[in-house]
Amino acid sequence: MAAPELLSDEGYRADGRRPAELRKVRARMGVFAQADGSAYIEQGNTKALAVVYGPHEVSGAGHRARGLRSPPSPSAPLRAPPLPLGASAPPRGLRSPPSPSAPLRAPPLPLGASAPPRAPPLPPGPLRSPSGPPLPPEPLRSLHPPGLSPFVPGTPRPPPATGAAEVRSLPGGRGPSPVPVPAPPRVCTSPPPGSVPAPVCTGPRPQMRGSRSKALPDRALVNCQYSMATFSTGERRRRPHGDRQAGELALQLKQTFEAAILTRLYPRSQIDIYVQVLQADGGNYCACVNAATLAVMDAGIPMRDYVCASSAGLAEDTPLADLSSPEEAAGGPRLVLALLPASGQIALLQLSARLHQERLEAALEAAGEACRALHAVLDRVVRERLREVAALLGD
Amino acid sequence: MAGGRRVRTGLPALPPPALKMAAITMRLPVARKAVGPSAPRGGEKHLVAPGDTITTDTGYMRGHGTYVEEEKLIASVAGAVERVNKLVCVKALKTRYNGEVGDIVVGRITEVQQKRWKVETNSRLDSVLLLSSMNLPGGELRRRSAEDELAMRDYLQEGDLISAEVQSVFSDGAVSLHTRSLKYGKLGQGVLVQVSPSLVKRQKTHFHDLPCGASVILGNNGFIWIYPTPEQKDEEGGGFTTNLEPVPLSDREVISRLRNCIVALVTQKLMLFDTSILYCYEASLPHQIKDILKPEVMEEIVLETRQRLLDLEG
Repeated sequence: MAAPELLSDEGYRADGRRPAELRKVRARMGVFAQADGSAYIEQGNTKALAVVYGPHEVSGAGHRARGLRSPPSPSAPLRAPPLPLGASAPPRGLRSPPSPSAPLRAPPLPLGASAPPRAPPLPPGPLRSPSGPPLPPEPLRSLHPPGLSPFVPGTPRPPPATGAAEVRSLPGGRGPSPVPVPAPPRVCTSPPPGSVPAPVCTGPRPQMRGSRSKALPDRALVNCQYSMATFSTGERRRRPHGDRQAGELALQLKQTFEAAILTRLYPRSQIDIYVQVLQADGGNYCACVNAATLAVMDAGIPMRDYVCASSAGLAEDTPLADLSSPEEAAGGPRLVLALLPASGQIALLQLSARLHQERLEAALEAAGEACRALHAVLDRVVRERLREVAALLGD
Repeated sequence: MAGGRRVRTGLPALPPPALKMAAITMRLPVARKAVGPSAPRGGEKHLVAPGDTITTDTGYMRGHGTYVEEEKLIASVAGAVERVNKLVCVKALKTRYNGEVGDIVVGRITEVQQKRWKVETNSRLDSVLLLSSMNLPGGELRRRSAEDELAMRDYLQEGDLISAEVQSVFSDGAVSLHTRSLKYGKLGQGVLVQVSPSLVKRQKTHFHDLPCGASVILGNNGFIWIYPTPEQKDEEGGGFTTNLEPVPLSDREVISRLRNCIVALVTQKLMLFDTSILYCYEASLPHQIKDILKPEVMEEIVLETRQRLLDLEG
């Protein structure tokens, strides 16, 4: 399962870190003047840039640019020595490629209060009641029980299956849901049962920016775009319209931030989050989430909490936090966790590759610990910025 | 935000080359350092970040920028806590414009609809300007006919800039504007600067004819319009005719200088109002207009402005 060389005999990783140690994090808020919010983060050699526009009116492509696209009004032609009429080009944001369609609001969002009212087509069960109150917080609680119970009782495996599965089952009678988990007859050949079903794009691909009809009557539309710079990886690659992976990551970002942003405060508007990876060295999604958190905060958009994301893997039995690119490439299990640290709620949890159920706990704990450590770092950055700007603004 | 170290190229030591080359200034991107008071005046502010518990006391009311969970009052934006009696708000450092009745705004028409225009005002939703809430040429009490409706595009077209006042705010935060005064209406020739709305100081008047020879409209929404001071206030146009005479060079220089001064003030997070702009303008006079945007010049003139403002306060 895990490659043995991930951890040396002395207990150090290839880049000299201890198992639970994060890479060096540097972050900065407010890197662009024209965006509503922006941030830059470096986690080791992974570098990401996030830009937030909004909340603004939901409208067809180029809403901000419409003023410029229209021909100059006949009543105001630019006479001889013309002053620049109006501003420089309003920021249009990055070009938005089409995105997977909205109905893929996919796995149920964990936070009861923020769950979309149009519930995903789950069979009626005790898992979620649409009108139910927000779930009481509980440390490291996941609300993805079906996806997370990696083994279905009945597999030829030592008994603790049920016990361990119950750890993540929900309190208050929200027990294991009747959602049919594809029961693996034989563990070794089944599809990775531990992975949260990643949203797969199937539907038509509408315009990313959304038309007015996409406006939601009761909350803001969160629009995410993920891209990687051509020079971000070892081999130079042009990704003209974003590949499938980018679309998937954008959807995950959207889910994560819909859970964190208090979207109900901005009915009928739209919030755009654009992230770009400038250098990819493992944990791209995590760096993007962390950068986007800072950018959303910089834009003054209300959020429940920070969203901190970190990955974790396993070297034999030892959980490794914050995987670097070589460690990801080693092929072991990789757990990606986006956590709201103050309340301990999980915004996104993804597991790639198979993992023994008993080790899940440890990996999850390591990822959670890494998220909390990141939270401390990001919090310092935010407070530093707050103090600086508050001092400048004076009274 | 580029700034900081400068690398001067050019060939000062060599004899002048045959092809004359202008000196180029290149800068490496460096985090910009802000100049300001070392310690905030008026005591330490209570600064919070999202997720921070402000109080567990249930006697407080939830204001903007906060939410309640498990009887705890929690911040949802990063900013300073403000308390008014039992109401607790968190004011973010920078947000989009939140309309308030009576505000002066500058906006751009994005759409012409039935009996209304949609106006982009840096708000969370586009603002509305109703045909019935503006002065049409021909007097206050003119009836709006179907012809007026058809001729809406002749008054205001997509892309036009207007100044207006906030008439009302809808429950979803959208803003309804009116231009029922000759002060408001379509903007002609000038320069627009977009800044954060929190940097525009609320004042009695937001229309200023500065003594340096230009006028500014400081929109509460952070849109600032700089234009040549009109010689005579024309009454007949109802605010929908624009002066298309060429603007003399001297006026354009003043306008450009003002624009760069405002950009400098905004970069250093100084509040914008007539006095601060004027002081900054005066501080910038020794420099060339284009040099105002250089970080070191920016720091210098903003520092001087800040000092003069402090002296003014006494």
